[in-house]
Amino acid sequence: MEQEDENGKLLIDSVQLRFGDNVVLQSAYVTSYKGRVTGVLGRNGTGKSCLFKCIMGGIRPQNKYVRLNSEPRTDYGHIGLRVKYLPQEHFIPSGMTLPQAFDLYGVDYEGLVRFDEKYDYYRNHKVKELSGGDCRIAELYMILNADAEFCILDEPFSNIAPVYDEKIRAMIQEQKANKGIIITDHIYEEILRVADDLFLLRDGFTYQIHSRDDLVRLGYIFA
Amino acid sequence: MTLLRKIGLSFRYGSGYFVVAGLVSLCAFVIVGINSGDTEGLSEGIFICKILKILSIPIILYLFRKFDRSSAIYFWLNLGISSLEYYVIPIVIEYIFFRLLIFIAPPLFTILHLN
Repeated sequence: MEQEDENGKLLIDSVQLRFGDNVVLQSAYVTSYKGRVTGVLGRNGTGKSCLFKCIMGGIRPQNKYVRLNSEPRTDYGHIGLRVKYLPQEHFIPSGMTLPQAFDLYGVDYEGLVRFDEKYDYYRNHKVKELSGGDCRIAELYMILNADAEFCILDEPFSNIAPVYDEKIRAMIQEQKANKGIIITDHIYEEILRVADDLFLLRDGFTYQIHSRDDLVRLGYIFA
Repeated sequence: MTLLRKIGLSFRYGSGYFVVAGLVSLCAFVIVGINSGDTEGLSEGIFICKILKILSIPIILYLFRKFDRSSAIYFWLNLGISSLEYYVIPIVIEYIFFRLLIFIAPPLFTILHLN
């Protein structure tokens, strides 16, 4: 659905990225709105993660344009204050405990304990002592609950037991009331379930998806 | 986020860099101090130490980028530190520490010699 309201809008446009001769993104764009979940789909290697890293400043693209709301200028360097990013890999420093990380992000750790009681036991454990799945859930909870206008979730459902899928979907739906959420995952059924708007990255370009048929036509899934 | 807060955070994410680069600075401190009795040797020692210090910075940074998890930077970018500040703040802080050591080494070693 196209929205005209410029407030509560994150526009990422004209992203061009290449590594040597390998052109990853040619003219990628994604638009996200507060109160909505934007799904970004794409096969492996189509540049979904690179697009997000370009937004956050972890990768320097040849060109990018990011606009928040109707503000004429964007402080690219400090965009993390307004947009929180969950990368694919673990990102909390391994020597830190979860309460220390939550404290830096201004997120109440007791909320995570209420989400799953086992995190009460992990209170004094360093992140490197946690299993990959437990760490992933904590990271996802922290990003979703941190104070931000938008958050970007790169494969939030990977490495997580199916029993948590429903709780994570509920958390995403709850948090979208306060912020815009961009989400990508290869478990595309989960994305179709939670997303209000859908984009597909292919050959460095973005395609807006209106129906499942579009995904078939663009070769993302079989008929 | 204030600069002081960013500097405070840099001590957390850059602790490895501070330790290794700090050891290089301490070596420079000792070399300059030992040569402090000889005016010609002192200026030569300071010059060599500065060159070695500047050359060591990209090498140490390269090693930390190679062995560090590439996604760890996003923890700090999410807090409002830019990718430039992420690298520059520890380098500048540690370089100030190095200059301070080089500055105090000659008088300190002279006092130690006199005693």
